[in-house]
Amino acid sequence: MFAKLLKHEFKATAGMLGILCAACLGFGLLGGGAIRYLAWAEETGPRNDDGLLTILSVLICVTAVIVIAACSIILLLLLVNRFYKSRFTDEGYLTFTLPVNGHQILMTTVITGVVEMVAISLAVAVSILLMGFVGISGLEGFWEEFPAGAARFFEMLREAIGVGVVGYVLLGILVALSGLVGECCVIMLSVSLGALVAKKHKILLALLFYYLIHMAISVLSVGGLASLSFGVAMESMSYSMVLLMTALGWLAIGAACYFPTHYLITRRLNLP
Amino acid sequence: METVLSTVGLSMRYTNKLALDKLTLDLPQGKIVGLLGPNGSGKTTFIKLAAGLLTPTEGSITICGQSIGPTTKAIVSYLPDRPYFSRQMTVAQQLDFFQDFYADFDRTRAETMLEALGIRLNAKFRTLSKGTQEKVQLVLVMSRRAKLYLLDEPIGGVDPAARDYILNTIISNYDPSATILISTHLISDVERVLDEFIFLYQGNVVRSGNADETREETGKSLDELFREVFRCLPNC
Repeated sequence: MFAKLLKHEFKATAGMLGILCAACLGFGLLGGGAIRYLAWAEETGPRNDDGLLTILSVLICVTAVIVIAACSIILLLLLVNRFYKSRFTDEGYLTFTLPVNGHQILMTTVITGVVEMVAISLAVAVSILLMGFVGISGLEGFWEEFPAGAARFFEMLREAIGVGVVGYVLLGILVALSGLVGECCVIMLSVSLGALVAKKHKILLALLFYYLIHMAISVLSVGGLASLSFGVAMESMSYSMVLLMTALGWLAIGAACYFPTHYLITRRLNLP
Repeated sequence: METVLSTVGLSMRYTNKLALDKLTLDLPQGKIVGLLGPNGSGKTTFIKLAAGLLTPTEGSITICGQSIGPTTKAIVSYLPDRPYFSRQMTVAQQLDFFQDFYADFDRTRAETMLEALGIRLNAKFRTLSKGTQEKVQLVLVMSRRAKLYLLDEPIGGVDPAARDYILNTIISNYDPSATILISTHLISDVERVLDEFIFLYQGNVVRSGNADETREETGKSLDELFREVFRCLPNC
């Protein structure tokens, strides 16, 4: 039943995710093409510079940057809207009468949120790379030097942070994923509180709760760091330990938000 | 006779209001029961509690002897008083959805009923009229072979012809071993299909019984009896 719920949750947002990823990649290519034209026009001199094409290229570059930057934000807003609509509006009458439990309902939101945010982040990264590779000429030597350069980079990292390439990548992924999970849970709790506590201005209240929860996280983080610096010498902690603690911190934040959300949707649900 | 739904001392309090007040009742298997009362009497609250959309503040409610949860939701077919599907879904997607989640869903029956109504499966839900949306939802709900059907105001807000269609659909798809609980304040329309009735007022049962026996005993229709009972009550 959980698999079916997950399937339907993905289906509900997959279309928009596909459009946003395609927009990212498309504008990455377009932006790269525009940059290449501008560079060529500058190199070859004014007689080859078509004023209209130049203006168009500049506009395309600016649009590409805005679209790529906005895609992640748009997806986040869509996911939040999907969570709110499917749980706290008329659609909630269907969701909460399905033969599934509260944990399954919440976990589908967390999993789809994390997977789709990772997908859009990858799309954004690839589109930026595309823009660079397409737009910047003279990269022919880059690929020849790339393997040696990458090896030197990761060797420096290993000396600095104490783990090898694989370890660093895994730690980085762990921090990123735990951060996404934690942030998903914070958003779920904020939206749930806003939807169930307020009769009017639910979105405003959800934003307020979101702000308050992040304030609390900031205060606790600073307090935690301060107590660490007094207790254990910070310099004795390796970077890998710091990364690990960051990941665990985000998971703890996630748990601290997840269980109250579960309580709200199972014991305090009152749809309009 | 087996009991499908049972409540003991069931209470539901909202912030400023006691919607249900220590309600104790049993719904028998295989009956069409009318939950009748004026606006604000607690009908929708009771249905929502049975459907698992609310948690009682006091008392208990069980379905086939089990507490409300995924197991009871699998055997309860619930029709709310509003459209509850995403408006972007097509009718076919709604059928897929029900087929995925409910093992007792009879897709062939649903498609037959929709075809009889002239509703295209590729129609988007938002393009259908309000009455047609309600019929689609009713078809989906009644195409399940559930043990308990909870229909919250199924004929409110539609024209008389649509009301007749809805009631005929309920009767013709009625599994004699299942129980149907219909909540409504349109007594005269629905009383012809009822086996039993419960009059609810401010969260309390003021009268209940077998519909035919009560009509014989009182010489009145349920609609007339309802008007008589509730005329005497304050704030009605």
